[in-house]
Amino acid sequence: MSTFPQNPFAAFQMPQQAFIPDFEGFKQRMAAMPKVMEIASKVRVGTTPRDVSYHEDKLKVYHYQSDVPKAHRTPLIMVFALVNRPYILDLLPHKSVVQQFLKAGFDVFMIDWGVPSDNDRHLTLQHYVERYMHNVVNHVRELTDVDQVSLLGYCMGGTMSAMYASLHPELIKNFILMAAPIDWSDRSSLLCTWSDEKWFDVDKVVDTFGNAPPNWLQGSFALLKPVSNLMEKYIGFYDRMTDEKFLEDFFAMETWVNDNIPIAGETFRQFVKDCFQKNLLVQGKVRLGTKLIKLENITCPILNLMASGDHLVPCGQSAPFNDLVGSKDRQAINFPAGHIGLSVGTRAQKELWPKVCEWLAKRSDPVDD
Amino acid sequence: MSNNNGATSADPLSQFWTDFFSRMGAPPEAARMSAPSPEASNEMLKQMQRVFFDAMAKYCEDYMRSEQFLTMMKQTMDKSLAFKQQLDQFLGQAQKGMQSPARADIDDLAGTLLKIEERVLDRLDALEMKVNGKAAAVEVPRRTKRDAGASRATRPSGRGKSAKRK
Repeated sequence: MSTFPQNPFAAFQMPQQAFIPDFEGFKQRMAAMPKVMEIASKVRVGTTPRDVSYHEDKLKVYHYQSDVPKAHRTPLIMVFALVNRPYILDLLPHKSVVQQFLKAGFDVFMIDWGVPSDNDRHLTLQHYVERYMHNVVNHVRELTDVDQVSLLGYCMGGTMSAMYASLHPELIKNFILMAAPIDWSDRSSLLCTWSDEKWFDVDKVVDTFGNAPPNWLQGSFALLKPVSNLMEKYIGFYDRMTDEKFLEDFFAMETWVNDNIPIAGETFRQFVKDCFQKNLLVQGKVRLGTKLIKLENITCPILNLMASGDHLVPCGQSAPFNDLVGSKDRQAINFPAGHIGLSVGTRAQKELWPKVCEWLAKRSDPVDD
Repeated sequence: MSNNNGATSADPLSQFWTDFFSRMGAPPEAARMSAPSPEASNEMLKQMQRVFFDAMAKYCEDYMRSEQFLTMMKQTMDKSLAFKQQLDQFLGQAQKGMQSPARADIDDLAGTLLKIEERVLDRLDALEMKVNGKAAAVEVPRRTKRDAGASRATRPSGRGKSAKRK
């Protein structure tokens, strides 16, 4: 004779009132709506004072200002990915990697690649790395009167910085790699499964759309964690709607998440094919124009920052970098955070970035007295 | 875990509910109390929500790695791209008929300009190397260390604008 399975909810013995809708809480939240709207409309991101010190086509270089006297001569250039906007590194005053470095006495620059238009579909990785990055590095060297600069590359910006550092090792004093994919033999991320040659024809996408469309990119990223991005986030928002501090952070983050930009078509094609599908970077077979990228050419001190909970770039894609370079001074930090939490997370701001500043300070030239 | 071996759709779905119910059957000690306080009730609800979302996330992850999903994704993309290509072709022909440039024409033009620019820059690089070689041959005063490392550095393609130089 079959028996009914035990009711799994019975163990909870929930009191009736637990299921009565929380009308009081609902009323409080509705009363807070004007404040919510006000905070949403007033949210300001990337607020650290800065000048545009260089521009070329759509690219801009921001030079950050600070009251803190400069303690290090070697300037730091931050290189963000071609996806989304770079102000994630300066999201809010209390969630700003830029301000961490400014407070530690560094001269900080950041590359904003700009928003590619349809006419920029022909731009390749060679244009971004060998032309734009090279010109930016030379501009910063000229402006600050130094021979070498430090680079911090985040995500795809890290991969591009690694390519640049291997082509111009003489210009790089220190290199910080931040959640950057290098070795795609680790196929554990969902993004790798989706971009597999068997399932994804990048040629067709680029030939049809020109640039990789921003809405399509954003949808794909949201779908990587559908429950978290499409459900939990909004439930969390409802729960904490009356918390002004939370709202400020929430809307700043939402501003960034929804500020998607297209990726230049040819760059997207090359990155997906050479990196995601063929994993050529670690084999020394990625070609920018006539030059081959050889990671062993990188000889400067390396700090490889990885996020243990990264669903976009698993640690297995970043960790091999330290074994592939020719540097003797190389360190890795595996920090408990997600891909974005590595830069804006409260814990990362308190525990990780002061350590990174310390690491960089030891390896940068001091300001002459 | 990854499920790329052609599993049927029922597998991850049943896994999801099995997982969910097994987690629900093992609530924390606080939840076993016979008369929980309102705070404990809230905590229990949160726990139920957490368990549900965890199970749901795992189910979604497994499903999005399954051959079934990937095949569906590929077919949808292929068909929508084919439709877009047909539409572009039709609109392009209509514009050609009206003797006005289509997007494809502008794209070609931009590509051609970029290639011309690259050729000019490459030629300038070659000339710069030649001039440097000649200069070294006639023993002009030695360049500084910084100039030597600069290669194309001192000439940022002649394209960018530096605030310092303004």
